[in-house]
Amino acid sequence: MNKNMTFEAAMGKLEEIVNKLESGNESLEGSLKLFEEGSALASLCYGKLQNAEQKIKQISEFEEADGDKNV
Amino acid sequence: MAHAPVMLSVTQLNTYIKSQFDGDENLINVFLSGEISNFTNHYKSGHFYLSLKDDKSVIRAVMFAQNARRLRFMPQDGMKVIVRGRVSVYEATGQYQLYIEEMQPDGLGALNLAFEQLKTKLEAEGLFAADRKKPLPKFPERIGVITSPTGAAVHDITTILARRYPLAQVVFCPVLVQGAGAAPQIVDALERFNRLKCADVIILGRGGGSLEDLWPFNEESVARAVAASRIPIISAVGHETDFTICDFVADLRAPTPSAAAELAVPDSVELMDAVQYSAVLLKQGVSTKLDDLRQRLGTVTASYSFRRPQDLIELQRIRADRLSARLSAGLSQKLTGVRAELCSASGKLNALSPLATLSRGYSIVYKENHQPISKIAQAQIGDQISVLLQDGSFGCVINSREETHE
Repeated sequence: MNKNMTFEAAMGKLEEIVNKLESGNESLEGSLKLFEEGSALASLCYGKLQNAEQKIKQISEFEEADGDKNV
Repeated sequence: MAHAPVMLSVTQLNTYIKSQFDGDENLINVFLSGEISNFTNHYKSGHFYLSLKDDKSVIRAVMFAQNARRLRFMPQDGMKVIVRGRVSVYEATGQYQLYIEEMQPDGLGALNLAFEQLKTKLEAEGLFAADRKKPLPKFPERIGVITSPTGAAVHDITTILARRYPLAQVVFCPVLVQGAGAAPQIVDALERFNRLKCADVIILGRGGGSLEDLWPFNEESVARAVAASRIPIISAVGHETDFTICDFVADLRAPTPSAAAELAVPDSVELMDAVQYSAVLLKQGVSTKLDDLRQRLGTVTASYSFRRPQDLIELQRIRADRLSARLSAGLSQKLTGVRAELCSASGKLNALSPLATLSRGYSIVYKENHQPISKIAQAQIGDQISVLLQDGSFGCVINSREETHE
């Protein structure tokens, strides 16, 4: 699992895993693997929410970055 | 004293008349109320040509582009207006006319009129249509904020974003939000966000103020920039009761800047609950799976054969016994058949035996050379013969013979 995935991607994947697991069509090995992956995603999402600190940037910073790219 | 008549050119006369008009203080600064007719907007030059009339008279008028540009509403035929200007003469045609410098709608305020006009125009173009509205992202990673750096709005917005969803980054673009310079700055800000793609959703707004203060958000240029944005825009101008053109064009209208911040992002407290709930569902999902498998395993192990393996062996033994019984039964049947055949064969054999004939009282006659005598020709008088009975024999001499003829 990629620790740098966005909250949206992690949340989406978590929902997908929960749905799969609830369908009951997975093998035991598959279910345990899904559980493991889902638990990791849940703690990633939770951690992201808990530890987030809002960053405020000025749009000019993006323009500088954009300018550097163009150079 | 007779003067020779002075011959004037048309131009000279018109110039003279114009100087008379221009020298008359009463005609330099005229306030006039009237109804517009024959209105023409000369698109190339930007000049307006029109007539003003009341129920009896009409006067031609012109409003040059430099003045016309400042108008916030678009004059049209039938509109009652109050104008200020001067009366002068257009020398080329000798036509006197009113040169309008300012124009106000008579009755409704100019801004209200301008608002209604722009609203009608953009609505007709379909810019307010529901199907143009872009959906807001569920979990925005970057939130653009276009507002004044000094107002309360920026504080309200950032406070709420930090509380609700600190996960997102705020990208702030400070602009003027009132006065003549505001609209171009807002348009520029929207273009910058779109060019740099540095926001998933934009909050555009300001706090409350007079209609004049909020005016930049009613400018056509701002409305068009909002409509052109590929990034969804939440409009948050003034208070709950203030409606601007920007609100109609935006993808979502928030009643206040604070409300815009609430609408822009999900609440992380609710999200934490959702994540925890997902974790619970995960556990349930696995334990359901395990319970299911456990139950199936239980069903299998609880079955008869699993519980009493010796019964299974017994069953096989019974089967083997049955088979061997059938085998021996089959064999003995076969033997009985053979025995019966043998019996009947020996019975037949017995019936054919000469000994059996003797047992019924018959006897056999032998000559001395043990040749049995079965024809009369073999017997001569005086021959020694022996007679065999079932339980013995005796000898005798033939003393008579008789041939039987058939």
